[in-house]
Amino acid sequence: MLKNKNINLRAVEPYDVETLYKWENSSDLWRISNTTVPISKHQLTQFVQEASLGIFETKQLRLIIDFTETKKTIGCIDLFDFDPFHKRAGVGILVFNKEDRQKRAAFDSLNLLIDYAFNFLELHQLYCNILIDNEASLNLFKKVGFSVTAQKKEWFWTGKYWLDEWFLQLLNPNRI
Amino acid sequence: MKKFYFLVILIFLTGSYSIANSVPKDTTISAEKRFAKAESYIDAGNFEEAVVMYESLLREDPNSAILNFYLGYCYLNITDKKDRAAKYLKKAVQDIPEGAESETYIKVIGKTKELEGVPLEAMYFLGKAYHANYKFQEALDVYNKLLVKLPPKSEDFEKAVKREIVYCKNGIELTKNRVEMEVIPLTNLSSAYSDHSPVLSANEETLIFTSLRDGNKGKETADGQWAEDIYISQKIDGEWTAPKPISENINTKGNDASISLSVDGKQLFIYKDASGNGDIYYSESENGQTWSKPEKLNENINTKYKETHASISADGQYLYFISDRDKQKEEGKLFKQKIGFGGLDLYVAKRLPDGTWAKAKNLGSVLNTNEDEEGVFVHPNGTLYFSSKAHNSMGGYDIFSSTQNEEGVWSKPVNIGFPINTTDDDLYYVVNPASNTAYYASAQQNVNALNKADLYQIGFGDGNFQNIALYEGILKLENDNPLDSGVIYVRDPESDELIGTFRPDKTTGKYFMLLSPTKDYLISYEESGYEPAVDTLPVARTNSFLQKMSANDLGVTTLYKPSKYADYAIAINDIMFEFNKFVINEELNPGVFESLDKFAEYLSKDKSLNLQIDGHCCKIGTEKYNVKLSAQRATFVKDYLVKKGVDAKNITIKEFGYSTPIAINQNSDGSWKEESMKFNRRIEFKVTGENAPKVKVVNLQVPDKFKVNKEL
Repeated sequence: MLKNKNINLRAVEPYDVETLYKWENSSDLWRISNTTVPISKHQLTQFVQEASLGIFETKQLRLIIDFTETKKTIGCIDLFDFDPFHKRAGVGILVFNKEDRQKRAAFDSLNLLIDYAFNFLELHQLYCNILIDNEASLNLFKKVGFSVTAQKKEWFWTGKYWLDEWFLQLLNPNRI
Repeated sequence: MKKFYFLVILIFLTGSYSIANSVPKDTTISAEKRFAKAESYIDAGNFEEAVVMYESLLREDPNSAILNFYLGYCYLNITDKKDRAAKYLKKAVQDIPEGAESETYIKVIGKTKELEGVPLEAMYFLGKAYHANYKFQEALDVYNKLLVKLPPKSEDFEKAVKREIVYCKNGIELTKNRVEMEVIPLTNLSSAYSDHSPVLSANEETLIFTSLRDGNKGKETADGQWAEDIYISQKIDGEWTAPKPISENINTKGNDASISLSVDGKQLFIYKDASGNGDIYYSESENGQTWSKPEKLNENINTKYKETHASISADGQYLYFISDRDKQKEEGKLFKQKIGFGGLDLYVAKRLPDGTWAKAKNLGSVLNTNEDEEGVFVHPNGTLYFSSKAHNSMGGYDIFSSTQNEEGVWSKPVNIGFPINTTDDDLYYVVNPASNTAYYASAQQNVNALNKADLYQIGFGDGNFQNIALYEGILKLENDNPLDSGVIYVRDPESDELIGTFRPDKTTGKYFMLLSPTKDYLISYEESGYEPAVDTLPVARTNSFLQKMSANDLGVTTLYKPSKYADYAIAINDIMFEFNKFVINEELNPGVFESLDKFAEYLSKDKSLNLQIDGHCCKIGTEKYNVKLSAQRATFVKDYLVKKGVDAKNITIKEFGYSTPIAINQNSDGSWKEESMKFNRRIEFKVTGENAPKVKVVNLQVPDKFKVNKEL
C-alpha cells in the first residue's frame, strides 16, 4: 500500500464495484475518460478480479484513493497502456466529488504513483492526455512535473464542436 | 354554500308535550312555551339555544323519553358536543313504543305532525351519535336492530339506515390507518365564528377565505352567525397578516364565498346565492389590492340549477365545478333530493380563446355517483381533490383524490384517509404545489371549544414537486415605466398552441407560472407599445425547475420600446461561461449552438457586418490569468463562428479580464457572491456596419440587486 499522512492508495477490492459503477457511469466523466457507452457491473466485477493478475499481465493498474484519516474513498488513479518494453505508461486520475477536490488528494496521489512507477516499476516515462478546457487538471500535472509536449488538434468531438487535447510527459530523471 | 357545510338532517319534528308529573316548574316561562321555543330554535338550526331549553325542561322531568330524544338530537347537531348525544338517545330508545308509528320517518319530513311518543328515528340518531364518535361497532349494532324493527314500506328509511351501515363499515377500515400529519391552527386568521374555504396562490403568500364573523356586511343569521363575506391575508416574513375584508366590490349583504384562486393569486372565483340557486362568479385583481366587481360566468357554467363550487386549473384553461344540472332527470322525485340522494356532480369546462367557457362536460361515473359530490380542487399536478358522500366515505362528505391518465380517464377515487376525513362532513381542501401542505377548515379540530370551523394548515413532511415546474420572475419595462397591459403567453413551440396566459402584478411586475415539466415552452412577454421578448423555457431538460425558486433567483425580463432593432432580422444572446472555462456550456446557455449556427449563417452572407467579441471574467484569480481566460473565451466563440463559415477577417476579439464586471463580485465582507458573480463570466457581441441594426444583441439579464452600479 502506498500512503502518506493525507491519502493512501490501495488495490481495488470487490466492495469497490458499486462505487466504480457509479463513477464510470457518471456521464459528466465520459468526456474525461474517453468513454461513450455505459459500462456494466459485470464488466467491472471482471475488471476487479483481473486486477489481481498484476500490471505485467493486464497492462493496467487501478488504485483506489482513500483519505488516510477518515478512510473515505474519494477517487482512483490509473496506470494504463503499460508498455514494459518501452518502459512507459499513461496516467489518469479521478477525484469524484467536487467537495473532495482542492485538498491535495490528487497531488499527493500523483506523487506517490510517480514514485512507484519510477522506483519500483522502473519506468522511463509517464504521460497523460488533458482536454484543452480542463485547466484544473493541466495545472495539477504541471505542478507534479509534467510538461506539455504536444497539442493534438481537434482531437475530441463534443457533439457541438472539436476540442484540442494536450499531451503531457514526465521523464524519469534517474534512468537512461 | 353554507347550507352544505353543516350536516343537518332535514327533519322537521313537531311534538306535543305535557308536563306529566308535579316537579316544581320554572315559573318565568311555562314548560309548553319553552318546548315550543326550543322547536323553533331547531327549525332555525340554532341547536345551542334549543339545548338550553330542553335542559331546563329535562331538569323538571328527567325521565321524559321525548325530552331525552330531542336533547340528544340537538347535541348530535352541535359539532363539538356530539359525544353527549348518545347518553340521552340511549334513554330515549328504551321508550320506543311497540310497533312505533310505521312510516314516521317519511311522514315527519317536511310536514307538521304531532308525535305520540319517541319515534323509531331515535335509534337512527343513536346510531349516528355512536358513529360520530367513532364507535362504529356500537352504531352497527343499533342499525341492525333498527332494520329488524322497520315496518313494511319504509324503503327510504331502510335505504338511509343502510347507507349509515356502509359509512360505519368504511369507518372501521379507514381508521385502521392514520395519515401521518402535523396540524397547525392558523390562529390569527380564524375567528370565534365559522371560517372556511381557504384558497391560496401557488406561492402560498396570498390566502383568501370565507368567514361568518361579526362585522360582515350582511345580517345576523338565525344560527347566531353572519352572512358569509370573503377575507384576504398576505404572508409577510412568514406570518399571515390580520385578515381584511377583500373588497367593497366583492362582499355584499348576501353570502359571498371564496371557492378558487388562480395560481398567481389574481383571479378569484366566488360563490353567490343572490338568485337563490347558487352561481359562480369571477373577480380579477391587477395588483392583489383592488378587485373588480364579480361577474357571473356564462350560461355554460351557470344554469337555473345549483352551481356551488369550482376550481381553476394551474394553466387557467380548465374550470372544474360542481352542479346539479342533471336534476331534471330526477324531477318528480323531489322527495329523494331533499334527503340528499343524487344531485351534485363534478363537471369541467375548457376556456375558449375569447376567455369565456365552452360547454361543460360531466366528469363521468368513475367520479360522480348518485349521491352528492362537492368542493372540488384541481392541483397543479393534475390531481383532482373533491368531496363525496359516496365511494368509501366514512360519513357524510369525505375528501377523495383521483388522477387522470394520458387518455383522460380518471382513476378510482381514493379516500385521502383518517383523520383528515372524519365521520362528519369534510370539504374544501386545498393542497400546495409541493403536495406537503394542505389548507383546510374544520370544526372538529377546533380547540376553542366553539361549534365553528377554523382554518388549519396540515403538514405532510417533505415536499414533492412531481409533475410541476414552477417558474417565477419579474417583467419590467425600460426606465421602470409601470406595466399596463403586460401579459405573458406560454405556447407549445411545436404546435404553437396556447398553453397558458399569465399576468404579472402591475405594481411589482412579479409573475408566477406553473407548468408541466414534460416539454419545452415558448414564452412571450408582451406589453402594448413595447417590443415583445421571446424566450424558450427548456423545462424538460433541467430538473432545477422542479424546485421552487427562491425569491433571490427571480429572473428579470425587461421590455424595450421599439428602437433601432425595430425590424431586426436576427437576434443573438451574449454567452455565459462556467468558472475557469472557456468552452461553452449549453446548460448555461440553452439553445446556444443553434442560435450561433444561425448567426454564423447570417454573418457569412452579409460581409459588410463586423463582429467584435469581448471576453470577460469574474474576479477570482490574478489579473494576468483572467486576461488570458477572457481572450480564450472570445477566441473560442470566434473559432466556432469561423468553422461555421464566417470570414475570420470580419471578427475581432478583445479581452477585458475582470476589468468590466456587469454584476457584483463580492459580498460586503469580501466573500465571493457566486449567484451574482456568475454573470461576469461572459462574452458580449458588438456588431458594427451599415446593417448593424438588423442584428439584435440580447445582453445578459442581471437582476437589479446584482447590478454592478450598486457595488460602491
